[in-house]
Amino acid sequence: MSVLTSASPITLHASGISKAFTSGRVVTPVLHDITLAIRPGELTLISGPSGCGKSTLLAILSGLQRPDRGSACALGQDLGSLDARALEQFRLRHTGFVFQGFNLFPALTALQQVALPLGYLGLPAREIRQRAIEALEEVGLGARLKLRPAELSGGEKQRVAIARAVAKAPELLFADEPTSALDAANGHIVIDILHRIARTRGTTVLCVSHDPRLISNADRVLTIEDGRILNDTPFPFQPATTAGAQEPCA
Amino acid sequence: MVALARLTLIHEWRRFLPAIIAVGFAGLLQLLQAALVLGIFGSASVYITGSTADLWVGYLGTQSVNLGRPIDAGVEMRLRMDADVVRVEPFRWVDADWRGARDTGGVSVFVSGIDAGPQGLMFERVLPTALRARLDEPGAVIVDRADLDSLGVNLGDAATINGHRVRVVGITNGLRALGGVNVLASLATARQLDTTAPADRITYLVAKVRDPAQAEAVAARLGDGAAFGSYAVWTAQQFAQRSQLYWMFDTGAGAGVLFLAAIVFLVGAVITSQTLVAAVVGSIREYATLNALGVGVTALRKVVMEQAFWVGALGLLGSSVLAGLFFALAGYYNVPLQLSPIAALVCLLLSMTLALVSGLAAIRTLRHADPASLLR
Repeated sequence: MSVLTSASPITLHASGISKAFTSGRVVTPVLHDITLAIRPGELTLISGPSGCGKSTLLAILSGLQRPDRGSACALGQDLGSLDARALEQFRLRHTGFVFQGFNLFPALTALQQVALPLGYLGLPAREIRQRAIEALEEVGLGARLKLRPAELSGGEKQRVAIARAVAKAPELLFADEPTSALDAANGHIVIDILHRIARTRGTTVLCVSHDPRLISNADRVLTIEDGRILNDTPFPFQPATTAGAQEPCA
Repeated sequence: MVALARLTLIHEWRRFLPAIIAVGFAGLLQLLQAALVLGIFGSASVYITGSTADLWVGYLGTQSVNLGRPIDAGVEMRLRMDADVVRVEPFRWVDADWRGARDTGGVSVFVSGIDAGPQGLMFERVLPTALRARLDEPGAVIVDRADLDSLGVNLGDAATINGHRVRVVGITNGLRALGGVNVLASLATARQLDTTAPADRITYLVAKVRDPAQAEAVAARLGDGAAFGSYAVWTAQQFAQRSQLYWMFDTGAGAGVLFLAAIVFLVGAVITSQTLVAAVVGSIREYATLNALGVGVTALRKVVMEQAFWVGALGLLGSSVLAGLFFALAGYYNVPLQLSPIAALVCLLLSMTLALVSGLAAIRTLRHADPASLLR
């Protein structure tokens, strides 16, 4: 088990997290006493075989699930201290999500998909449109604003989903198997976009995947097996971080 | 703000169509049913609503105009003595058996014996003065155009009522009534046809008062006296309502109608809620993603309720258009349909309630929109 003690600020912090799922009388432990810290401006990859608990770890770190024991801290905020409504507000302001299935509304154009969550931030219409267009241009879809999911390829749909997640300019971006449903070329494009977002925006990008293509592109790889961190490999290239310092909670 | 509810409704209209049709049909059925009930039960009081009398005097406790029993003709004097009463006329009700010129078997008819003079109050609204004057001829009767077939006669034909020969001297509209066929005759003719009633008794007395706004007070004053046996005085409005309520509730017909309305509502709600639930389930991953991005459950519920509202609005638009067509058709075939704006509004509101209740049922499905479930 490894805890990073680097001087760079910590945006995501887990200490002593355990989680088990109960099905009838059977209790299946998923995570065992996991402690880790994740820095901004990096693409951190959690890797491991399916069923190893990596998605559960992502869910806990992003505030979608609560751990049985231990605490998760994001941007200096103890997620366990927030109620459901406060967690929603926290996610609205600070986090973006990209899922394996793209989960786009069939009725909406690319621009509307991205603008939809922005509307709930209470931004003026002009700014919503502006930010949505910028986000789509950033993922290379500036020419496809008016197309619906049915008219987009799988790679393009995932890029719309990324644009939807980052248009809010979140400090935290979570991605669950973002390349699993894509071919090699599109997978690469998506990896590059996620990496670029981490570098240029200083966003904390936490990615869960067993896709080997991602491993070679990540800044840091955490390997999990049977609910425990087996390996923590920082890759040699470390970018200069730009995000404001966030102190981990105790 | 991106109008998710509306855009989804337009894009996936096929998915929502069953709900729109269900709300539309529920609305249409409620409208037609209400119009039929009001039309048919309204016709139970055609004697009152078709006349211009302000007061009705009949046997004490009479529940409906067709259930009148003879009262002492002397009551007429009591009415005439009142300074506020400007006109009094008798109305004789006779349950009779009709045999038409064509072979129709016996037809049960209600003979209304009325004052055939030009000042007559009874049926003044449905009977032009010239036509009314023809009743003066002995044995003359007037019937409704819609009843000609069932009576087996045409204008000018002869028939028999309770064994007495009568002749159809006129045809009018708006006499169609519940429970039997209305036949108009003069008081003298009706007296002849009435084989059972004692000579000095009459079914009803109707009166006109100086100031119709005072009708209620005059009715209360006239109904007070104990002389002349058992009789009661109602204003025309009270008596019409009494008759309609009797038909609606005491006959069980109204209960049947309410039962049908409840069934329509239930079936409509089941179809609509199931359709909305299916729509929510179809987009559950997208809703969960929105929730992951911080869009609150309350906001997602609003999207579902907005969809329910639009389904209701489109359904009601359809039912209003169709109801208009059916009303035109019914008017052509003399079907008594009658719909007040308030009754129409209540029907439309009921259908909108149906849509919104279905939306509430569909909202419960949103609890499956758990973003953690997307991380598998």
